[in-house]
Amino acid sequence: MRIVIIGATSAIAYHIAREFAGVEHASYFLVGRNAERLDTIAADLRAHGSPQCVTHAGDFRDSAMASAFPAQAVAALGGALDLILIAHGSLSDEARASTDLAYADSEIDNNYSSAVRFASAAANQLREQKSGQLAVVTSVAGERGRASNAFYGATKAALIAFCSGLRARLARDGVQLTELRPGVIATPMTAHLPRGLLTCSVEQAGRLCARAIRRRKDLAYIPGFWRWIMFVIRALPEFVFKKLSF
Amino acid sequence: MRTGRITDHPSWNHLPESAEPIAQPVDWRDSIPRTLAERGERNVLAYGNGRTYGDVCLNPDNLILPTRGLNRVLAYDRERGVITAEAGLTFRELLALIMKDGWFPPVTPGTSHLTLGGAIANDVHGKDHPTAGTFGRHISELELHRSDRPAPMRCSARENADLFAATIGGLGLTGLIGAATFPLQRIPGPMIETRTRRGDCIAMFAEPADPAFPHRVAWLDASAPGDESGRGLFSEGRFIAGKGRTEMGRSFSTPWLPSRLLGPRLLGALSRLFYLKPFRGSESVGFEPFFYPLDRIDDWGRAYGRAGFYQHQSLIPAAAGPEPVRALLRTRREYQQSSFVTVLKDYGDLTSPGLLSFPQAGLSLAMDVPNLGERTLRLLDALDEIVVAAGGRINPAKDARMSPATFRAGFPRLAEFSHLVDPAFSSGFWRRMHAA
Ligand SMILES: NC(=O)c1ccc[n+]([C@@H]2O[C@H](COP(=O)([O-])OP(=O)(O)OC[C@H]3O[C@@H](n4cnc5c(N)ncnc54)[C@H](OP(=O)(O)O)[C@@H]3O)[C@@H](O)[C@H]2O)c1
Repeated sequence: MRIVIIGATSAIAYHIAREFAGVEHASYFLVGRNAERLDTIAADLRAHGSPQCVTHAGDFRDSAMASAFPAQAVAALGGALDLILIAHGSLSDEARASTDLAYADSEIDNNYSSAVRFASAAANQLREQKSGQLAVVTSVAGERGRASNAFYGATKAALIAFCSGLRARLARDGVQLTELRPGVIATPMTAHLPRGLLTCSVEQAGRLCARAIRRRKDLAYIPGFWRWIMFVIRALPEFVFKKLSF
Repeated sequence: MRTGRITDHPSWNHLPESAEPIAQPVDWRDSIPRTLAERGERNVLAYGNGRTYGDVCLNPDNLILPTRGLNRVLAYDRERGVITAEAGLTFRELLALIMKDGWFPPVTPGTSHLTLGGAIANDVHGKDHPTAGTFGRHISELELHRSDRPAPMRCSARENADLFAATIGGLGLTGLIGAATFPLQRIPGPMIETRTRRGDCIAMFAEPADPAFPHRVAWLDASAPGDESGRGLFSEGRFIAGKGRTEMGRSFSTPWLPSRLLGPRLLGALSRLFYLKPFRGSESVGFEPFFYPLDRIDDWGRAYGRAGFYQHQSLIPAAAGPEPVRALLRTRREYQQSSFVTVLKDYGDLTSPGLLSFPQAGLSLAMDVPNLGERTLRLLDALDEIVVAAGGRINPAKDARMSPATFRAGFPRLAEFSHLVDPAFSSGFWRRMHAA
């Protein structure tokens, strides 16, 4: 099995990758921005059973990077790609984004535009192969913008809409798009937030994501109970919702 | 970088009570220099998985650096059995990787929830100390991040040997351990053959050991009358060939029980029941119940309630003979306190490089005592006196209350160690040992 991961140093992505290293003994093309961290992940995946891990560091703002990666991955791994996982993202600092618009721009580019660039390039590759799977990590934050994360939520909302369109387009060529929609996972991204009852361990999140990918799901909430929480949150009338301070 | 306030970094026994530190998790080794540089006026301490009993893992009012994110394996030689891993990896995670290939850690502590960094910093040992020594003894190299060095240092018996010796058993005070390399031991299979006897375990440890059974441990019945103080179940074990589970089971969580529920009476009764229950003299069991009997119950310390409990683990050197061990048991009785987990082990003379390493040839007695306030503290002081008089020592990794004098008496190389402490590192324990 040949897997490409965009944002391979993400804790969630790493735990997904470990599942496929141990069971399927997958080969990896690991893409990120920090070469040293990518090497650490590669070493770990090899220790866990992967026969081959190639790393590729670059600047995600550069659209040439997105257009070039599929061919590089095919060349490095020596064949058609089975899974491309897009996982990078950052939990934008809402207060800063509302005043520092250059920062807001870079966050929007990172969470939305760059994800779309990578997903588009990935889709072209998989359609050409007429096989494979694309998995994209979004967030429950994309289902309704909250006072505390309007910027982040909006980028994820846009990404969810993009995934839904792309899924339909890819289906005609036998390519599956799986959207992974996490709730709150204990990762470096959320380390500054209090851990509550709804927080899921990253090990568990990795297992759940791997299961959804193996089952070629269209959409999986991680963990599944978020489907019901979001059902309620979406149903709240606006006059109630706007008074909520979360 | 954001500084997070994580409200849940306790020590295992929930004692001593301490102010909540600020937590700044380290998830990548490349971020450690920056974390150390940005500590401001505060001092720092690595926090692994919070399995020490007491304040060795606490740093009240200062910064703790949770290391569980550093849980990657950097190299694993399946053929030769050598591993290099980041310090936040737990034994449980390590076992999940290596057992299916027929490997086992060179030494394992009594819980699989320890991180490698914690195991090195407290130089842990297993039930096979006489033949295997401590965990630290097997470390061939470690990576140490110090606040006074721009780059991580490689430490081994040959390179930076002084820091290597200080870091093994160094209670996390010599810097932050980033990664470590050590060999694994080949095992014939995941099952253990055990032999169990009932009787005076102190006397049984005096008998010559059967080299075929390297793992030896005794559980003592706290309800035993004074003249039978050493009675308990003596068990020996060895790995045997054959198939068995290599994965570990799921664990269950414990609710908080009322603080004084497990009082001396109930603990005594439970001990007696456990002592008298029928058992098989010989059987084969999985490695998990043998090495990690309590790991199936998460947070079992909560059974003692929010008042917490103390553990007293002492070493009575071989030269003092077994009498002081009996005196410890007798004293606990006189103070009318009980303990369910009373464990006796013997240590051999394989030395560790660690300057503050706890084990040394002799007998080690560990007991949990529920916190009943003042009278428990008086009991523990009385126990310390016996230990110090016998030329022994108290294990800092299990301590929440010993006096600085007791600590100094037990660890003659303390002065040598103190010079090697990283100026930016400290802990609740270390400050308590230096309180006027
Ligand atoms: N954790 C949660 O509760 C949660 C909930 C819902 C959705 N998610 C989503 O899950 C995904 C993974 O997050 P995580 O929780 O695993 O957090 P994480 O461990 O902090 O991972 C974030 C990843 O994004 C990369 N990244 C961030 N900004 C980047 C940039 N400007 N350019 C390139 N790479 C960048 C990081 O690379 P570096 O290592 O180089 O920094 C890292 O690989 C994200 O898309 C996130 O939105 C997380």
